[in-house]
Amino acid sequence: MRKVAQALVIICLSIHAGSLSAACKSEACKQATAWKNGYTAIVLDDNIGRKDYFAVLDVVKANKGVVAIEAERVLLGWLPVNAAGKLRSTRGVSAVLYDPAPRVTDLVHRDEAIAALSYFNRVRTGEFEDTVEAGLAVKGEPLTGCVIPRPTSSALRSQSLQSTSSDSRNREDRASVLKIERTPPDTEDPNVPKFPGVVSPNFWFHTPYHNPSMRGRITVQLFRLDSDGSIDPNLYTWTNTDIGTSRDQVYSAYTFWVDEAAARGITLSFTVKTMDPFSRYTRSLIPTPTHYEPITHSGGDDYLWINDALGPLGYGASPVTQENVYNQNDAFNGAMAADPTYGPYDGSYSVYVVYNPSPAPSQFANGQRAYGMYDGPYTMIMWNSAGWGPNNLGLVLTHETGHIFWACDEYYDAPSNTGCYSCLHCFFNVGPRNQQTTPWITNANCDYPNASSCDVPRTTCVMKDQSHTLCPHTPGQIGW
Amino acid sequence: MTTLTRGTIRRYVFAAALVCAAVTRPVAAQDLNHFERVLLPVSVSRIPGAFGTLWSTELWYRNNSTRPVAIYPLAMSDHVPTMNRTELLPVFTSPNYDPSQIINVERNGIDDIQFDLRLFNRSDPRAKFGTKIPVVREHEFADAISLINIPTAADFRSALRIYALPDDSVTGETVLLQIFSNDERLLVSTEIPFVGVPRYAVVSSLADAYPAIRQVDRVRVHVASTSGRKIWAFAGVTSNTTQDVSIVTPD
Repeated sequence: MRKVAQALVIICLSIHAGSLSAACKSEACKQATAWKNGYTAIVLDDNIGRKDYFAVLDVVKANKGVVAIEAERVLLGWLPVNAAGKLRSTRGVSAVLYDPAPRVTDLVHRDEAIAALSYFNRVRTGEFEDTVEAGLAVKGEPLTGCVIPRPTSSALRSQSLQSTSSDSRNREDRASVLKIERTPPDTEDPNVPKFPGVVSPNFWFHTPYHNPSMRGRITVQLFRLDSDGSIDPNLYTWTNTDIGTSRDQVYSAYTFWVDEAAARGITLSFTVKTMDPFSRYTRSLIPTPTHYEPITHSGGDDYLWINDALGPLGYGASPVTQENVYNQNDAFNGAMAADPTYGPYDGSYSVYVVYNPSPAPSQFANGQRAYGMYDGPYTMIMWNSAGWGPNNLGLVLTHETGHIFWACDEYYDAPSNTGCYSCLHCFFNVGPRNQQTTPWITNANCDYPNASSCDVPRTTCVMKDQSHTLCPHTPGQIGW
Repeated sequence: MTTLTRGTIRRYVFAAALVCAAVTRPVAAQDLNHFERVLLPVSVSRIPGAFGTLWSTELWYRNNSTRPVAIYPLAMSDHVPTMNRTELLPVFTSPNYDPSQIINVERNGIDDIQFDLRLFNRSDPRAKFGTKIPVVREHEFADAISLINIPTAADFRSALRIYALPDDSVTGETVLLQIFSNDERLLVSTEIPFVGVPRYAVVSSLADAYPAIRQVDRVRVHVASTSGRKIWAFAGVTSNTTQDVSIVTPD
C-alpha cells in the first residue's frame, strides 16, 4: 500500500513538475502570452451551413466575445464564461472549450480543425509558452537592436492608445485644411480616354487598394513550399513536426493582432486557409510542391515558386513573368475574399513559407530576408528568417502582416542601409494613409539616425525588432 | 509667498519659448536634406489605352558603388537592392489619371546609381523592347519647359504630360500652355488645371484638343507654371498604326 502511495506521489510530482516546465519563466514571455487568459475554442459541427456559421459569429460578438481565428470548424478567440451556455445551445456549435480537449479527434476530424484544436490545447496547457520562451532566447539579424528597456505591455498599450487618439484629434483639425488627394477626376474628363470593351486590368499593388486597413474579416491563404526536385535538387523536405510547428506559429501571429485590435475596440479576425494539396495516399495535407528550392534563389525569383503554387489552383500565369504572376496572385486573393460560403471578406492575402532548416542559409541568395508587399498580394517568410528560428516564425509573420496593411518598418539596419528613413511620415505620397493626404500618420519610432522629429525615447516593438509588443505609431498606419 | 517680477516672468517666457523651439516639429523638408526626390513620370501596371493597348512600366536599377543606397518608398518591405547587380526595382504603380510616382534616393550615392524606366505595350507580344522614359531628378525641374519637334499629323497622338513635385500647398493652380509653329507663330495659348499630389496635368492628344495646330506639321510646346513652381514635362508620341511610343523631352 505504501509503495502504491509513493508511486502516486511520484506521479503527481512529475505531472506537477511537467506543468511547471510548460509555462513562462520570464516576464517577457508572460507579457507575450498574456492573451492566453480566457482563450477559448468553439468547435462547430462538421455540416454547419453558411447561415448558422454567421449566426454563431453574431452570438459571439453579441456576448462580448472575440473571434480571433476562423479555422475550419474551429473558432479560436475569447468568450466570457457566462456566455458559453448560450453559445453551446446555438445551432451548429458542438462544444465550447476553455480547457484542453482530452482527445482532439473525438471532437473534430479534418486536418485543419485538428491542427487548430491542437494549437488551442498547447496554449491552454502552457506548452506553447515553452516555444515563446525558446523564441525569446533567439535574436536574429540584421535587425537593429535597441538599448532602450522594453516597457511593460500595459504601458505601451496606453501609449499606443494615446497616439491613436491624438491622431484622431489631428485628423479632425486638419481635414478641413488639407484637401490634397490623389483621387480620380470628379467629372468626365475628356483627357481621360474611355475605351469600352477593354478588359479591366488586375491591379498590382495600387488603387483601388486591396488591404487598406487591418479591420474586419481577413482571409489568409497559407502555402508551405517544398521542392519536388524537378528543376532544382530537392535539398530540404518538411517534416510533419515542423508542419505542425509552423501552423502553431501562424495562429499565434494572428492571435497577437486580434488581441491588440480587441484592446482598441477594433473588430478583426483572420481565416487561415491552408492551400497545401491533399494527398490521396497519405489522406492528409502535404506541403505545396514547387520545381525550385526557393532558399537557394534570389528573392527576385519568387514569382517562379508562387506560380508553381497557384498553377494547380487555376491561377497560373502565361507567360510566367513577375507582373503576370503577381496579378494572378491578386486575382486568386480576390476570389478567396469573395468565397460564397464564408465570405465575403474585408481583406485577403497569401502567405508563402519557405522551408530552410539548418544547415540551409537563413536568407535568400541576394541577401533578402522575409518580406511582404504593401497592400498584398503576398508575404514571403521562412522557416528560419535571418536567424530568428522557427520559434519566432510567428513573430516574423506578425511583422510582415503589418506591412500588408501598410505598417512601416521602424528599424534601421546600417550595414544594408535599409529599414525606415523618416520619423515624419510612414508613406509620403502613396498608400491609403500618407503624408500628403493624412499628415498625422507619422513613423516617429523610426531608428534612422538622420531622421528628425522622432519619439524620445524610441521603443522596441514588432515592426522594429520583432518583439511581442505593438509599435506606438503602427495603429495609425494600419487604419485603427 | 514669493511674487514674480515682470523680469522673472519674461525670463520664464523666454525659457519656455526656447524649449518650445527645441521640440517643435520641423517641416518635412528637413528630411529631404539626405534624400533627393526623383520623378518616375509613368509608373503603371496593365493600364488600358487606345486601340486595345495595355501599358506597363518596369524600373530597372543598378547601384555601381560599394555601399547600399537607400531608396524609398518601395512596394516591397525589408528590401535591399543588391549592389553591382541589375534588378527590377519594386516601385509602386499608379492609376491612369495620375500615372507618376516620386521616389526618394539618398543624396550620398545618387550619382552612382543607374535607372532604366521602360514603358511596354503588353497587349502586343511582338512589340519592340519598350520605350525608355526619363527618370527625372529634382534639379532637372525648371521654371518653364520647351518641347520641340512634336508631330501633329493624324497618324500620331501626341500626349503632353506636365509634373511638379509635391508640397504642402493646396490644389487649384493652373499651368500656362503655349504652342508655337517652328517659325515661332503662336498657335495656342491656354491655361490647363494643374492638380493632384504630385502636381500633374495632361493633354491626351494635343491635335484633338487644339485643332489649330494641325495647320503645321510640327510644333513647339512651351509650358510654365502660373504659380512660379518648378515643373517638368514631356510628350509621348504614339503611332496610331503600330502603337509604338516615342518620347520628346526637354533635353
